[in-house]
Amino acid sequence: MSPLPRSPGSPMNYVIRRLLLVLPMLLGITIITYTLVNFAPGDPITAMIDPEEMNVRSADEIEALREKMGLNDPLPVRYALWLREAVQGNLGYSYHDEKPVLGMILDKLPASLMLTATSMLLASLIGCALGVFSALRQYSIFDHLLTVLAFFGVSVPGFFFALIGMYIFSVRLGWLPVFGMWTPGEPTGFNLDLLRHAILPVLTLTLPQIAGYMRYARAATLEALGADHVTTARAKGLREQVVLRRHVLRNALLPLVTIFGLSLPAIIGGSFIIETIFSWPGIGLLGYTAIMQRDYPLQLGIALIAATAVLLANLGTDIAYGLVDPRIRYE
Amino acid sequence: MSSATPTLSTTRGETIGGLAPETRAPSPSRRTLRRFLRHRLAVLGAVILVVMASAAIFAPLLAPYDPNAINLMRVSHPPDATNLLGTDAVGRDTLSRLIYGARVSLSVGLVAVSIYLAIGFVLGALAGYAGGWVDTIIMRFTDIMMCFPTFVLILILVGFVGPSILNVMLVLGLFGWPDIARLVRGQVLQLRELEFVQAAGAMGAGKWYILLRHIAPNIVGPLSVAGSLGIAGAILAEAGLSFLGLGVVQPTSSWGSMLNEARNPATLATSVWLWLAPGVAISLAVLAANFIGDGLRDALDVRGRRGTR
Repeated sequence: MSPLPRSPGSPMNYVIRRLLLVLPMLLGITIITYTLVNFAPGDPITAMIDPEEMNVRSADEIEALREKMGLNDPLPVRYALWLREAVQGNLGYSYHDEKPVLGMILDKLPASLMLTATSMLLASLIGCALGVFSALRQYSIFDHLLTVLAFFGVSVPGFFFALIGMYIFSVRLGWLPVFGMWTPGEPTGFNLDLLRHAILPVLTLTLPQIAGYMRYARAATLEALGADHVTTARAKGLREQVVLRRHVLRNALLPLVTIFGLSLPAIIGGSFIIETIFSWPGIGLLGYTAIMQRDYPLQLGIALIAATAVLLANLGTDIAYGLVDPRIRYE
Repeated sequence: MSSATPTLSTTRGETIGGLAPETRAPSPSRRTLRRFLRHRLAVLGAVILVVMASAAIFAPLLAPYDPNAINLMRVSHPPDATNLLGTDAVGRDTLSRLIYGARVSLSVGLVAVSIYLAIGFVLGALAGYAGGWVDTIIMRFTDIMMCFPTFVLILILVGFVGPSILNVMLVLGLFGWPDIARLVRGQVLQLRELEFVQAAGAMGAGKWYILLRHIAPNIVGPLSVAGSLGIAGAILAEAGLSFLGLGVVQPTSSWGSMLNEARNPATLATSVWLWLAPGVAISLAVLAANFIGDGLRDALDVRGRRGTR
């Protein structure tokens, strides 16, 4: 595939090979996003030009500008021009707020990261613990119960969890706030108020994810338990705890890293709904608002950024996994 | 695939190796059915879905009231003998809307999944069977599509074309195929190396004949698993869309759009029956489809890891 010297197992070559694969993928993502841009009803010129500039220009001037910017060119040429702008960080201007799309997205990134990262961390920890526990007690009541609970976890919609949580903890008990990141009028920043606001959104984003980690951890642990080297370890008289820690869990849980990347698209999708329900001012709520306001440049900017994030997350987990597990490097 | 190898189990005095033709081993489909029926959760799921599908089909007979009939004399009424599940803010009967809502959820699930199973099958089979640059192009395209959060693309495209049942079906159908294409391609690559396919080729069977007669029937199993799990996903996606007000629009009732009304804090607090009932209905339908998928996987002995999506 690459013109590099053939020693596929060397870590450096593996990293380079993975990086080389990413560029065409990134290009593909921009092509699909641009195709979507063209499906959007409306005029691309209003999307690309600074709105303040638009106001002071006549129709003729705009037509001239349209010609100059190449908007009358055929699609591939327009794509190339758009790509040149996009690479430089110009994803166009929001129809509604008349601000650069990229800046608006980056502004909301910390709030979203706080929800997604926390929920992924929680879900993987809880999921792994339950999965391993379930595997060690295979076919016990506990194991069966968890299997059924996992089905509920993937089947009950996140927004239904959210409504139930809001009803119980906010409406009935009055323990937790319902909307936003901070109580209006209270100081902002990383404080107790923020944590209280984050509990319900994080929980409702976490619950549906747990099942995936749990089922995976259970299956992987069971598989590792049956491996020959585990039998050997037991045969040579290692204590069960040491067998588990060194020989079973290490092998079983390493591949879990890849789930981070794989589950990201679903979490981004879920955060659209969860952030909207809780009025959590992140990218999901921004995207939902953009869709309701028919703010196409903003929508497509978010799609592009989200897909790129997924791609990079997969790249990151692949590389990390390849570096710790040499088997991966020679597929 | 273990279903291709003859079982040597001799329950009820069957002879091994077909020595006595009158007591043959059960056919693969019988065996699959028996294994499915032994999976208690799967049977439960099948029962739930059959009940829901019947409710959807016979909705006009079952629903106590017209689902869209407004009754301003009984607004936001809690459940009682007249309205078993209460009424909404304009006095429509929740139970009737729930029964009619089954039509939307189930049909969207079925149609959307059928669309993307077809797309995924064609692309996957083409990639696996043609190989070479066709394979490379299709699979790179699949990889790229899998980077996009599907739900976000669906939201955006529904925003373009406008919310309606048909649009939701089409858009959901348009974006679900990448997983299926990968699955089918993998199966094709595996199957075409098997002896019976090689033998058919050696006897002069054409490429397409082999694909349709020998390979396709063996992919039906894994596809039915993916399909039932897909229906679960599609029902969830439709509910999510309608919940956000981008799916099925009023006055048509869908479980998601009924939940949408609970986004109003007053409704959430005071009319619990209004959002609890459709929420439970969605969860049950998705649970049932997931149970069936799991049962089919066990029954057909479809191995292989699945992503978390």
